[in-house]
Amino acid sequence: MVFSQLIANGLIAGSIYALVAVGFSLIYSTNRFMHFAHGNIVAVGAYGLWYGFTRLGLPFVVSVLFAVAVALVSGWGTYRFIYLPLKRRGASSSILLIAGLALMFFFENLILLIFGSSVKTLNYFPTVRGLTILGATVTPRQIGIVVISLFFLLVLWFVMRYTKMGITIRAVAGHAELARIGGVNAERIQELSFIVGSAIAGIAGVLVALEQNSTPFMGTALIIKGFTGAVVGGITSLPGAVLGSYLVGLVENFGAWFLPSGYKDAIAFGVLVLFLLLRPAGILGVTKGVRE
Amino acid sequence: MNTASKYLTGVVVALVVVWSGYTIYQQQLLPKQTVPAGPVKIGWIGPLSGGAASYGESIKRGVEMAAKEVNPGTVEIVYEDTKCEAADAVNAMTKLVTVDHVSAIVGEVCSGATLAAAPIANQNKVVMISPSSTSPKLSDAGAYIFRTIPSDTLQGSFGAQIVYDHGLRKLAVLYSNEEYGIGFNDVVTAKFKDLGGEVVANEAFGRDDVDMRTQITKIRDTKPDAIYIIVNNPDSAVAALKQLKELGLNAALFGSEGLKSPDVLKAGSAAEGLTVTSVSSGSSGFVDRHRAEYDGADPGPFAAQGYDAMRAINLTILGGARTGEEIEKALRTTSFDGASGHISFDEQGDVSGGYNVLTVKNGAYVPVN
Repeated sequence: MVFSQLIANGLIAGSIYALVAVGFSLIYSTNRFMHFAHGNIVAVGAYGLWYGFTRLGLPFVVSVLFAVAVALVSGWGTYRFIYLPLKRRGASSSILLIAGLALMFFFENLILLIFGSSVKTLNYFPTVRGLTILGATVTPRQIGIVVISLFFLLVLWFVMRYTKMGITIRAVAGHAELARIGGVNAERIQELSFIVGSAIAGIAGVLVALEQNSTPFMGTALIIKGFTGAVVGGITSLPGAVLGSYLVGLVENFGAWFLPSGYKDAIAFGVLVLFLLLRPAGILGVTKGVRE
Repeated sequence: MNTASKYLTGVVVALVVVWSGYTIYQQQLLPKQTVPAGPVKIGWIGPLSGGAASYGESIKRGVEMAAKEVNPGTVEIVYEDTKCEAADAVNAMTKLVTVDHVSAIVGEVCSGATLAAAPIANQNKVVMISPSSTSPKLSDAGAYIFRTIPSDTLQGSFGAQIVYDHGLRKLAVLYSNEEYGIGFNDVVTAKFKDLGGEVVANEAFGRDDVDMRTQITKIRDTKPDAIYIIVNNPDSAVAALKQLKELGLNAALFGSEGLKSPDVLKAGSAAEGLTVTSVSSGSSGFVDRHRAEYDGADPGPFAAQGYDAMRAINLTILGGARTGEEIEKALRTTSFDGASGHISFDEQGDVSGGYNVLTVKNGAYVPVN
């Protein structure tokens, strides 16, 4: 019973990490820099849902669309107004990383300024005692989170695998220079991955807002876990990012069972360090191809 | 370079050396702490952002109310945001002491941050009065460290006693993994065992964590009668309450004063039945004045203690104290009826005090006798 409960806890956490990680990986693979403000775009989505639903009084479905739209526009905005101008001035990826860190603090404090620090709960689904499934207690909402998360991950995989857009994105991710020679507008694809990645972040934000209360600083915690998942899975591989995220979710929950629970985060980062030492390319990462 | 200019350079260098030596010597002659005429500068450190920001904001209001009671120009308050983090508290403290030259400080809010900043206060002879840090360690933090809230040695024992008096014998503790939670957990656990009860689990979570399912799973496995939640961050408190309910725990819920906050009630039905111990939220006179001052808002957590901390400083200044040393001496004999009860500091800078017991019923805190 404890075993299945830990699996459930790990899957719920992993589903949210996975949505954060795929967006991060998608943006990284085409743009080749760390967009650390990606977690804050998730926070923007969560606050968007809260604001739309409780303050504007929009119907729930409309609030969800509003939240995703706000996240998409914010993420796109970071690319258009911050990263792109910097890139055009020849900024290296380490400069862009620092810009990302600055954006992280910017978004945290912007949210704090607009919404204050009081607890933001949605309570759209009442807090009820969970159902017991295979010995694990989970609420219908949590099952919903795992299912919706998996659904969008599958859609993304399908798009990346079979559509022209996906193939072009992968071409740019594989070798931006070659893709450009082959007639692909690489800059356009890089922008597109920001748009798609931020929309996924918006979906993640909606799920997080439903499951937990939103805080201005939630984005940083999420990107740390999402980033760990992405690196463990192989940072340029989207299926890898998903696998890595579930692994992080499961390991931290199982680890906290055997070790004092205060070490939960330490366990997750221990896994990150182990992977960096033993398998730097991650689970599904490739060591051939582009190198920085 | 000819001889004349060499000579001239030599003279200039010698003059500079002598002059700078003289100024340094003169500065050393000056008394260490000079407070110029004009307002006495008072610092405020605490979280205005981060997970504990709501405590900081409510304390700030109490301090502002007390500051308005003295003639304009008597005191000047400099506010610094620390997010309740030790490193930020040290930076803010250093800035207040070396740049603003404050004589006294109201703060820090969180015990860990207060303990980190305390050595700087002691070294520079600047008084620090915390309105909310309850860690037992604060009692021994130095001569310049005071507080207007009783130590957790009192609250933890009191809390353990309440659980025991409810007839509950198997207790699990869920606490935040920082100075406040660790100190409180130690006291509750020791006291409950002394009483003859059994403590079946002590589970920690990170201070801003909102996912505690595994900790709760571990607690559930030990089948406790009661769960004591110790946290000073409403976000974590709400998450813990919801997840306890969702994971189907049937234990009685108890909480430290950190769970006495309007924000915690946002957990809705998950907060029902929660029993909290709480320091005074203010005399009725204070509540009325707070409402008049802030558009009908009730005082938040520790607003009364913040008011009392500032009021204590005011009284020493009105008595003629200006420097940190003078304020420290005057505080030893200061005694008044404050918003949170009678304030007088013992040798360790602590106040005594009682606790209210409240239970959440229909989404509101109801006093229990």
